[in-house]
Amino acid sequence: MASSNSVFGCHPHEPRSHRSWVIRNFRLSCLVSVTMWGIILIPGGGFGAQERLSNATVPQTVDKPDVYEQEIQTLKDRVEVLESQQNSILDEISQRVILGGYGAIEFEAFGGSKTSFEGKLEVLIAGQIHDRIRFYNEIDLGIPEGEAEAEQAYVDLLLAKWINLRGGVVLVPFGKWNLDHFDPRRDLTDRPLVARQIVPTTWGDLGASLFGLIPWSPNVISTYEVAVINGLTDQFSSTNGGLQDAKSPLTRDNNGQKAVVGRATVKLADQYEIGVSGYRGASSPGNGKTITGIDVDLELKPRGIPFWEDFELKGEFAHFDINGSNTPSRLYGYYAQVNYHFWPSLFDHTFLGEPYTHPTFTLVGRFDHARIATNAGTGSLTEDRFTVGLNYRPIENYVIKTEYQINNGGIERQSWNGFIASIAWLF
Amino acid sequence: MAIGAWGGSPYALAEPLAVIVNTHNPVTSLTKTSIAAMYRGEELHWAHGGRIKLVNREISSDSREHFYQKVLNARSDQQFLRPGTPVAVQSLIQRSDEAVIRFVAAIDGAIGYVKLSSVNETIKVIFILKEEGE
Repeated sequence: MASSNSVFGCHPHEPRSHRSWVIRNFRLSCLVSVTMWGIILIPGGGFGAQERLSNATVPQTVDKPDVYEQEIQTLKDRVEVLESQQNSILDEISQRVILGGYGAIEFEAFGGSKTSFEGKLEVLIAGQIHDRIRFYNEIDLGIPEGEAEAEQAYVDLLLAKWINLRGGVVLVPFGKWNLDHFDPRRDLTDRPLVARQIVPTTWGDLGASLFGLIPWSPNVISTYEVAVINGLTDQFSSTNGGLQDAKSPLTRDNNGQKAVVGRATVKLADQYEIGVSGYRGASSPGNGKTITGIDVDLELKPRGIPFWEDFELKGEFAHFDINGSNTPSRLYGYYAQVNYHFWPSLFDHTFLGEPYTHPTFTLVGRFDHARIATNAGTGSLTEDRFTVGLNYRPIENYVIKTEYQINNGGIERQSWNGFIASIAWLF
Repeated sequence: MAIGAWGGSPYALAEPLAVIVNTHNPVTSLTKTSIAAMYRGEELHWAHGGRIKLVNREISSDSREHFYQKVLNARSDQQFLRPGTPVAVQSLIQRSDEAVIRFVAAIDGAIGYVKLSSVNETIKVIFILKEEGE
């Protein structure tokens, strides 16, 4: 009613001047309405007239097909130009800069220590400056330590398939695990001892490297990367972290000599890979402490072979000698891991399976061992660990992991057994 | 069959796929191994120097499932990563054969795959992937 009043009449409490304005408008509206209905209903006018007018123009269209064809062609050309521009923009967007990241939230409960949540978030920025110059940055935002740091920040000059130049903060090419340490990619939450105490995984350093790929045959390729870096320092420990604290702090080298490190692989049919890495460098100025290391890694992922294609086998062995040091003098370790991927069809139509293309459970078993030897009276420290885990991946880039560890030794978890769970994601 | 065992829909695409490039691309044919190397990120540039720009279909597409299985020996959602990074080899996702063709026809260094029956004169076919993968 209110709206009716406001449109067609006047409210009793409205002032006179407003009322007369409304009356004028009402009359005008009536006049317009009558005129319109007249146009519609009178023969020869209104919509009927439009129809007849349209009918009348048909012969003209037939008479002048060239005009319309020309217009259609013009429109086609314009659409083509727009499509071309759109594709160019898509190309630029897809190739120029990639902004992503990965994160993990971990929970652990071990005898002898408080339960704890830990987390991490890393930002990834990658892209192309030119068809043959690309960059990559991986910034650890410092959760929970509180200090952000560059794990990788380098630029590649792509010269040829077999030789390319990299410079900046490079991920040190030593061991498979160091080069593929990203939490959402891993099937267990905890890294193996060899990738924590022996190889200081997430090991990046300032330097430059040459890398490339050499195809030997359609199914066999080799890759290599050789880097010159500042190298490990003398901040190693036999009781706390092995070589972890010896990672370069990304400042000036503590000695004038550069370390040389490299890794070469042979890959067969993109399913089987064996890699060998080596490292040599001074760790401190002038006192003759030299660190040398060797690493062998293996990864078997059979595909297209019934039954076996559900399994993966991975392993790595690393050994470091520290010349001139007693504590420690030598560190080595290894792990062997079996993954079994499966998906019971009974989950197909549940919330675990229904919305996803290839959801997967993975059952994981791993054994790892580390030994930190000293020449001091304290002797050597060893630790053995057996882990069994189960994870669920609805998609490749999101995983929920659970695992139980059985430990025996004196390096890290000592002999405390415990439960770990985590969620990791990549975007 | 093996891929079906991982939980995906059984592969059932009868029509051959054509691997296509821009008509300005001097390449006239490629082997399956070379195409696989491109999609795995091992081959980044064309022999004549330009950057290879990969075009892919969406994960649920039959064409992608066929292509990944027969050319890359992989599931359609497998990601190929740049070594030493968790960053996937970049490819542009297009949601129809027509869109793939339009993109490849417009961008010099592009390579994509479409059903053979979708091929037209705006692009060049450099490889035909039949049921057997040859």
